[in-house]
Amino acid sequence: MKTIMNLASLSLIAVLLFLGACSADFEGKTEIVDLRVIGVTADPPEFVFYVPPEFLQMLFAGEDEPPPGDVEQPPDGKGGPGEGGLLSEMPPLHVDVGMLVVDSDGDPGEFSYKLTACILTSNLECDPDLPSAELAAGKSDTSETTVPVDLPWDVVEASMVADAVGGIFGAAVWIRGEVSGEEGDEVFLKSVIVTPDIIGGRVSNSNPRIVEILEGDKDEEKPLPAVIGEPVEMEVDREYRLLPSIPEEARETYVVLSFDVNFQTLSEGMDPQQLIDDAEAEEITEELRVSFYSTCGTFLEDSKSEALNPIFETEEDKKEKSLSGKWYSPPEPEDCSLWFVSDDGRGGVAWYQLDVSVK
Amino acid sequence: MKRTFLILLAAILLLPHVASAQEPAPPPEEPAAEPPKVIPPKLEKFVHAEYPDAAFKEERMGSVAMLVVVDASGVVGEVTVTGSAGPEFDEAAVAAVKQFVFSPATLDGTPVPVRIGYTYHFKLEKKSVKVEEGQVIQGKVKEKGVGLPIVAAEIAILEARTRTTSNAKGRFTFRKITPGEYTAVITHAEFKTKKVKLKVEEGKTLEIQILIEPVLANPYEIVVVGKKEEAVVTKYVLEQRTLETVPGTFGDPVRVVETLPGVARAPFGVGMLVIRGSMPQSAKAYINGVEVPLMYHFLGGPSILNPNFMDQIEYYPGNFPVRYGGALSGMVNVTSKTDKVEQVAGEADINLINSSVFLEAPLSDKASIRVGARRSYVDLVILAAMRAYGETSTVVAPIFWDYQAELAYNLNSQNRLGLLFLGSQDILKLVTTADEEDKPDIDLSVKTNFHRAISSWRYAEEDFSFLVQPYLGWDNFSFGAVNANLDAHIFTAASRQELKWKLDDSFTLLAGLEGGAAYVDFLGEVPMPKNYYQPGSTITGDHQQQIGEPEKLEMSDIYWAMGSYAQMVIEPVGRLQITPGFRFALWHNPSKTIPMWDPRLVIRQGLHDDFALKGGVGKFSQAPDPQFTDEEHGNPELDAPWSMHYSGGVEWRITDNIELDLIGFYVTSHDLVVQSSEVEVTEDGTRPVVAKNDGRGESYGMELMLRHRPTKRFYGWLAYTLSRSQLSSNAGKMDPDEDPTSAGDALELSPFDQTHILSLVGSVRLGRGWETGLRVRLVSGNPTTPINQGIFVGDSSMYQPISGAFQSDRLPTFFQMDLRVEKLWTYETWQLAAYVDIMNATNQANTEFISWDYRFNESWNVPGIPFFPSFGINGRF
Repeated sequence: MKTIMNLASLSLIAVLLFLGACSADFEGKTEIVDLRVIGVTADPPEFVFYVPPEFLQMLFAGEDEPPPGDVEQPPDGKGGPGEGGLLSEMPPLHVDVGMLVVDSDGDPGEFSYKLTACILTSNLECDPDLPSAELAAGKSDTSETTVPVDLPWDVVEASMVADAVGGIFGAAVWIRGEVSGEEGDEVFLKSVIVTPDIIGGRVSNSNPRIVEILEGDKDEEKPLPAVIGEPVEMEVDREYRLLPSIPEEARETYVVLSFDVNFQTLSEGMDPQQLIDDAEAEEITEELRVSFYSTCGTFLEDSKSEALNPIFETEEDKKEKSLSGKWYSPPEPEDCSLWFVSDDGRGGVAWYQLDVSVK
Repeated sequence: MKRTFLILLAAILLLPHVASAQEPAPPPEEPAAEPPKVIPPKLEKFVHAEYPDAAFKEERMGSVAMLVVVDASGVVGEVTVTGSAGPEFDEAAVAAVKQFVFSPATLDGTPVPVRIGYTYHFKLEKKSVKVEEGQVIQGKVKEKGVGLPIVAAEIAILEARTRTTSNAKGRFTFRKITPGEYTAVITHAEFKTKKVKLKVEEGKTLEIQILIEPVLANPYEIVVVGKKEEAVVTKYVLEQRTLETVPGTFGDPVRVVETLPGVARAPFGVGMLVIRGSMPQSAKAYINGVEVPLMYHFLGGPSILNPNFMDQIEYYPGNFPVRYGGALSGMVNVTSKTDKVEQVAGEADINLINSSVFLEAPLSDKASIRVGARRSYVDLVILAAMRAYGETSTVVAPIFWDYQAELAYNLNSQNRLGLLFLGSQDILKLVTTADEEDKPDIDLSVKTNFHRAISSWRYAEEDFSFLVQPYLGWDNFSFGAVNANLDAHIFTAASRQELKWKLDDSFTLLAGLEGGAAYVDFLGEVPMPKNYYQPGSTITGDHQQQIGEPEKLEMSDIYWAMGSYAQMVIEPVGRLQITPGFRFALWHNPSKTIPMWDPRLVIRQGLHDDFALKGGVGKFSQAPDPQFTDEEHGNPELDAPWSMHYSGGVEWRITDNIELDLIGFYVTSHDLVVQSSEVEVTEDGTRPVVAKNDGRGESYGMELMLRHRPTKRFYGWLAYTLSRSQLSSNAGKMDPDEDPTSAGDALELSPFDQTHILSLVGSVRLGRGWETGLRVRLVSGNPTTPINQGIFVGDSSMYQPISGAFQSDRLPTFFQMDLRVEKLWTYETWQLAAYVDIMNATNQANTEFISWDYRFNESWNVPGIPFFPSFGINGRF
């Protein structure tokens, strides 16, 4: 007879489970302690334009020569390449890039920035072997900075060619930004989506919009009494439930093509027109997210989302979903800023800054 | 009998040419054989030594310790004195022992030569009483505490100047004892001498039971000195003593395998078998040669077989014999006990985490039963611990049970029938200390269980043996959540037959036939991805909108497999042993039958009694998992992955107790199943390929085992592995995006590549029931990819890491020292043991993985198991 199994190995399980609860004392994501970029917008976030089928075939195959013969003219009112032309011969796409740059006291001070449109490597660097363009460079000393830029068509075309499926269902043109200030440096990415108009009813995405901030328990939410240019007064050491108010129309409905196979399986050699013909158009409504930031107090959550967990949540749960965040005001009086940054999951971004005076 | 099996043999050998129908279970369930069993020799004839005249006159006494070689026929060969009492005593003792006759030790039913320890005691008593016509004394000698019968104990009645020896059942008899009071002295080489007072009354037979205490806790070890049938390059067999006292394993025998050469260290001590750096699914675990879906309970729990049922564990890091199939790297086989149950014995353990019971009993002279069961309640313990810590959190707790039962019937000394039932269940349960209103609204259930019924008929005579082993299996897995549920059931019916025939001293044949079928039933409903394209989503990570409504998944298929194998052990001259073997199997999924041809060869050349060269080469195939071959959700055209093993080295018995084994190996893997993102165009349109045989891998290195065989006081080993293991970037990885920088076919370090793996294990019996042990492990860290910085992605307000070169760095070196101290108290009819087992005695902060902050600016080396002492008390009878 041998000795028995003991409790040790099972106690080990308990230790391991507790280990899971342990974590390092990392800086909280919502807490602003140095220079950070916490929001980037592109206005508009998406361009939908007409591309003739022959051109799609060329993009899909990764070719750099236009298809032989005449190219179909775009219908009236649609942008796109002209007869026999390449995308690179088109006028550039105009975009306003907005940056929300903050530091520990909310005011970033003077910082420099540089924006580059390029094709990203797998390591999120600009690929030096592919077209790129420096869009803008300069200095700013405000937290919200808007920079108008033009996306050159050679970068757009290269982005479509580099896209996993040849850009026929849209491609992301990436803007890589570098920000440098007294409290640190930051690198960011922001996409501008370019989508060939291959689906009837597809319209360009637009950024969401936060109108105001509501405060209070559910069913008792009230707008915070805001006076333009004046901070909102809030009490020390108190829990607030804060809800960014976003108009219902900000949750746009858009059309996509769905396939029998995963998009990753769409590879070279396949006929894009056949793929398009085999696909089904489907309408999807955006589900928004909100990220929370503050220079004082503490947000309980990093972010909230309207999207359902596909495994654990039902449509019933959706009614309970809220984009509200719980914020604990600091124990001592101080003036500070809170930011609510919303995105729609496909490139649309908006933010709202709430200046508070904790008393 | 032999003629019948000649016919069977012919059928087996012809099978590869005619087979076209059947085979085992679904996956690579090719049942393997039970490993060889060592049965110690039994003393049949005891001869008294002549008391040396001079010593008798001078009233001197003494004890002579010897190592005795018992040959395959039970005859005593070489006798070496290891503890002298003087030349005259030594000479007399050796002369007597050389006349002993034993029933031979057997290895897997075949007699083998062995070496055992034996101590002869010379004792004198001054009193004497004349023996007259009188009464009978009958008795039995048993081991104190556990009650096992003691063979070859010498019982002397001093006043009567008579003595006798206990038989195989510990019984002895004295006749013609005059009524009166006597002193009996019981001596045995491995037990403390004991004196008892006897009172013999007129007209009555005296029946007595004498309990004697072992000098050391484990009374006897056997050292196998001849292993002619072991025609393998490297095989490690763990003896009973080393099964439960290795520090850091918490008495779980299966975990001892983790300290052997070739086995990579698994993170957090979870039960993963990673051999020579290959992926865990390339190794297989068996119980009595029957594959089981899991060897350990969930989340680092104990192994699923109660230690009381285990006889031995054999582990092959590669080049395993043809009787085993279905694994690309190596394998572990746990065998249950088959020794005869002589008396009722049992054990119960109740502790904070689980309770277990074990009982064995003879049902008749020929039949016996063993039963065991275990049930955990770890969820309640974790809940209490969290409350004690004041934690408000939710964790997943594993709950499990397992059971084993065996009915055995020994028809005679050659035939044994056995019926073994075993099963296990694991459930994951959410445990929370949150208030009712804050409880997480999560509906989750995960359950897996399996059952096996394994029958066996084993016939063994000196040169011929066979095994017939039909078995049934029932495996279930279920997962349930709000929007997803899966239920999978696999019913298996299979059988395996094997014969071994030693035709003469230079030729032994091993052949086997196996086959079976599995019914796989899979029903589920899961939200499937909506296959539409979101530009830029690979960088923003926005995949959540690609999940659609739940869809039904259904699969009911029958898989079958059959196989045959043959192996010859040829010893043409001297110490040369050539072992060619061949294994052929067919594996059939509903669409395709896959043949697997595996030739193997092992050559061993002994240069000396204690030194041998050995080498092997062989092909090893593994059928693809059924989940990848389903017609609708997989690729039914997949072929079987396979590997080639090349190994060679030396085996050196440096002293009687110290052995060295040094092996170099090179393993190449081919046709590994990998996920594929390709589509194929069919007449009905396009369909995803899902999986392909496009992966490959290789590993090479050396393994060293320097081992002190278990003796009365000490066992230990030093195991060292130097290796490099590589896989193509598409092999064995669930996420095709895992390595975005590499081409699919390029070889990269395996996730489990560990350049240096050093284990040092030792355990010493200090006497008086004390035993202490040490285990030290020093292991290279696993490959890791460094992160240089984070970049903010405005689309999702999340940071993405910018990585350095793929797997260009390693986690810090792992070092851990474990200690164990045990004290055993032996009482008349039971034993009590108390021990402390300290894992990570130096509280080394070993990094298991690296955690990063949201911005990838700061990192935290997540430590493994901290200083962790464990105390245990158990009793047995």
